[in-house]
Amino acid sequence: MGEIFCPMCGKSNPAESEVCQFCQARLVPLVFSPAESEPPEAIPEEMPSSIDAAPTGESDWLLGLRSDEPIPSEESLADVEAGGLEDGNLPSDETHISADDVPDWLARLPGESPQEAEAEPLSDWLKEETGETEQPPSKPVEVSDWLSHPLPDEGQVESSESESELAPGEFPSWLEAIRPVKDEPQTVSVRGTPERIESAGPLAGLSGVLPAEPDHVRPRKSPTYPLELRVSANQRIHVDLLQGLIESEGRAQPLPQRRGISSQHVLRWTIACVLWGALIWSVITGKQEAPLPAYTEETAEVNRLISQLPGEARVLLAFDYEPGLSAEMDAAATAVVDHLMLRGAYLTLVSTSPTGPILAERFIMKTQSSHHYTSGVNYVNLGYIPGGAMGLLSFVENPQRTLPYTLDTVAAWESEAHAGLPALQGVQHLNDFELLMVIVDDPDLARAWVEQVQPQLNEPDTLTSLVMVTSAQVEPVMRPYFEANPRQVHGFVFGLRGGAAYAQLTGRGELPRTYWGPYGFGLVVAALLILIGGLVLSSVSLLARSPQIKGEANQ
Amino acid sequence: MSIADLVGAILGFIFTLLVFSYIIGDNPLFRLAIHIFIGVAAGFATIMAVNNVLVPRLLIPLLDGSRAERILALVPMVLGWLLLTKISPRLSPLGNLPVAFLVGVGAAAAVGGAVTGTLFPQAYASINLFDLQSAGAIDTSLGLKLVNGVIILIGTIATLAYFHFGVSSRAQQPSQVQVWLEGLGQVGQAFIAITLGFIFAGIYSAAMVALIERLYFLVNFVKPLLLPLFPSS
Amino acid sequence: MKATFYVAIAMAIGLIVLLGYFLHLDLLANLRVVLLEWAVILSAVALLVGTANLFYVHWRKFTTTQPNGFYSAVLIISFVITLGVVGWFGPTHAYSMWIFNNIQVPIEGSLMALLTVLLAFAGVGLFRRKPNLMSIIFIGTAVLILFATGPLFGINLPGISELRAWIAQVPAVAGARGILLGVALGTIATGLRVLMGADRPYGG
Repeated sequence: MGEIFCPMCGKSNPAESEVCQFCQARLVPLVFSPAESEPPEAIPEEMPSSIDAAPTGESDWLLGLRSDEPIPSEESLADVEAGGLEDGNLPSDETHISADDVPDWLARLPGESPQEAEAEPLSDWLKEETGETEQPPSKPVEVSDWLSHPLPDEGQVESSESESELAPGEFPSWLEAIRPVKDEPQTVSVRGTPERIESAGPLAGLSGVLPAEPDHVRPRKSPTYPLELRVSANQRIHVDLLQGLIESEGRAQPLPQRRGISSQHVLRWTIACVLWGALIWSVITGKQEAPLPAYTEETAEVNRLISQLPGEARVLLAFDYEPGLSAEMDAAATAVVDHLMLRGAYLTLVSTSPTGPILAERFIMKTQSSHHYTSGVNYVNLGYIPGGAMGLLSFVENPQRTLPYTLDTVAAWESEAHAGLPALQGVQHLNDFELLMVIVDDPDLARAWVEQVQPQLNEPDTLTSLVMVTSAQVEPVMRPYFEANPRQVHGFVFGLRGGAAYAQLTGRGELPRTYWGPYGFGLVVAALLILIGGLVLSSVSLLARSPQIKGEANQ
Repeated sequence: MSIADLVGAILGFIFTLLVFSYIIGDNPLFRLAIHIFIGVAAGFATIMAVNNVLVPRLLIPLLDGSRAERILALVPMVLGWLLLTKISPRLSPLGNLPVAFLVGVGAAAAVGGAVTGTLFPQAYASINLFDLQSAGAIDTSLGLKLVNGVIILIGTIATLAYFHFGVSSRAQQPSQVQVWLEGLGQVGQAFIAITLGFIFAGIYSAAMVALIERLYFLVNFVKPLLLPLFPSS
Repeated sequence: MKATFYVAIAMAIGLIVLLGYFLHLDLLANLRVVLLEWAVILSAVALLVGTANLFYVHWRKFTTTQPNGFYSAVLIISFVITLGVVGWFGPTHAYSMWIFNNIQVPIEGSLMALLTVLLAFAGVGLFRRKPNLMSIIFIGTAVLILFATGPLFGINLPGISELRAWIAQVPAVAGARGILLGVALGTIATGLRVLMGADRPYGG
């Protein structure tokens, strides 16, 4: 198969290509057909007839050589190059050249009349642009009329000495013929694709011309390769599910109609009856008393830190859990707070949850009534810090400005105007507390406390420790903060198990002891339910699928 | 027990049963209980926001504060009023400024906390797993500590590898999956499954305590009513 | 123009707060305190916007006699009564505590208690489909921890507590640490996108 090499980028293209596939340079010069072009009568009348006498394509400079008249000035040529063609500006001072002055080598040029030529007449500077382009031999180059005819006399051409007085120039016939009409639609090439139209220079308005600045020298933005994500089919299903969930947010979903009793209902009722029945029996009879669990390292650390507190220590206690988990959190924190109160610590209560301050009051009334702690004396409830992590950061930066009053709107902090409450005597910053204890049920909230508060406690000369009493669900996520070296959280009490272990350490705390027996029993029953129920279900579904599997195997 | 306590106990008993009725299926009684709960919770949240934050932090400085305090309180007051326009869809664009303020502060707090509170300390903790000096101080078996440390380090890296979903592609070449990264991701998936299983057990444990507390409440409520039927017990 | 202004505000304020984590300058610290204080106040206003919107939605449902309008009426009544009692007497008054102890806590606690059945049902449901290795690891770990957390029929079996402790301290910590680092990296990426104006959740 024949190939054409692009004169601009040098890459190989099929022989029949008209433009380069890589840099869009024209491979084949445009051919001008005289039958399709405007008749020679378009030539302005000022064009001298003596030009017709010239044998073949003679350019201005060549004509200038032959003639005594001065060649066209650079200024007039510049007018042409600057787009004067559109306005029809042509060099006005054209010279007359006689046939006797034609050099021999020029005379030997093929003598084709302009009318017979089909190709676009090329001046030398245009030829230089095309370079080594292979010309199809079947397409002769047409010589324009004005190249083949001598230039008009000086007197027959209007002079245009000043730019402002330049008369609109006139195009040679060949240029006029191939220039698009102003309102014409975009030129479409032979292949039916729109071509690039030159927007500047003497070839403005023409399509399919070689670009003045080839593509490969133009600065281009480096191509960006798309980053593909490796997403499995399963993940795609999950993504679609999540997208559907998000899109359905806010839209009222119609309640599905009840279809009667299905196997799913029966399974759910069975689980409820077995589990709740076992627990009710355990609660009523109280026959599931069990030894309290052994304490773990993180629980022992909490005990050690509280035991080392000085008398009348200032302790910040955060109640950051929801009322729904108050059963577990109360049971986990009872023995710990009881230990604090036994040490005589002053407690400052805060919360980042709106119901936290009320839960704190409820906790103290319900589980610590034996200590007779009084609000405003032994403890102070500063209330609610809104804003999540922002609120925590604000409290860390300046606790006095964040929570200036108690829940009862009493000025809490020491200042010039107020003496401050006993629980906050000598406390200006978070570092002034001996111990920070956070009672939290949510992993994200626990993490926010660590991220915002713990760096503050890393300051030099800070002896404040951070401990947490958390729900059992938080243990896996928060344990890395305890296992870190250096520790970010100095001690943990995880769930009812931790609370019961702490109760065993201190020998106090009735609530975790009460719940411990039924708790263990309930967990075992639940685990057996999941295991046995799951095995039964999987066996049933396997049996149901086995004929299908056998059928597939036989095939 | 006072009348208020008795009425309260009856209410608690009724509400507990209404919510437990969900086991049978979604029903009007369950939805009644839920709507009452939402109303009460919203009421408490509103009062806490007003009494505990807006009154002492905004109103009192504006009314009783010094000149500087008043000027400083003006800005959040104006922003607060603009934020309230978010309730109305028509005026909602006015609230974009305070939302932009909140978003800027929130994003900065989140980024700063993540960097200083989690990223660096936890990365440092992964390195310090092989801190032999501290192992000696705590009197832990050195070999066991090393083995555990290797498992934790591999698990941490494998878990992070699982969350890598990007595949770089080159022009006119099919995207290539790095086999070793995919294998490491599979290992990470196993560690994540263990962690999530632990979390599942934790949530179940928390729910179990809640159930035990509610059952104790129900039993303790019903027992006195049934005691006359069983005089010997 | 407005969008640029909002972006500029978010970026400038975010930058001041973020720089405070790393630079300890008095001027920066004071500015940071003021900005954070304003953010806390605005967060409380945002909470009010949420509750006001809740009230408005249910008020419309009730007044336009939409289906389930009765429940909206119940919600509005309970909201107004709570507002009145707690607002008048204070959050720690006996009446407010009575509402909290006898309505909110029982309902929320019961909702949490329901999870014992629903989660067990979900755990059983995992076996219905063809289990793969990961789901087996997941449910196996969950069942093992459930057995090991409480006393097994009143007996603390030797070894099971140590096994539970090892799972909690080694593989679970490994997975959790990877998750924490991943969450931190994601938070940083998302936060920086907001601070650089690439994400504009505020309608800019």
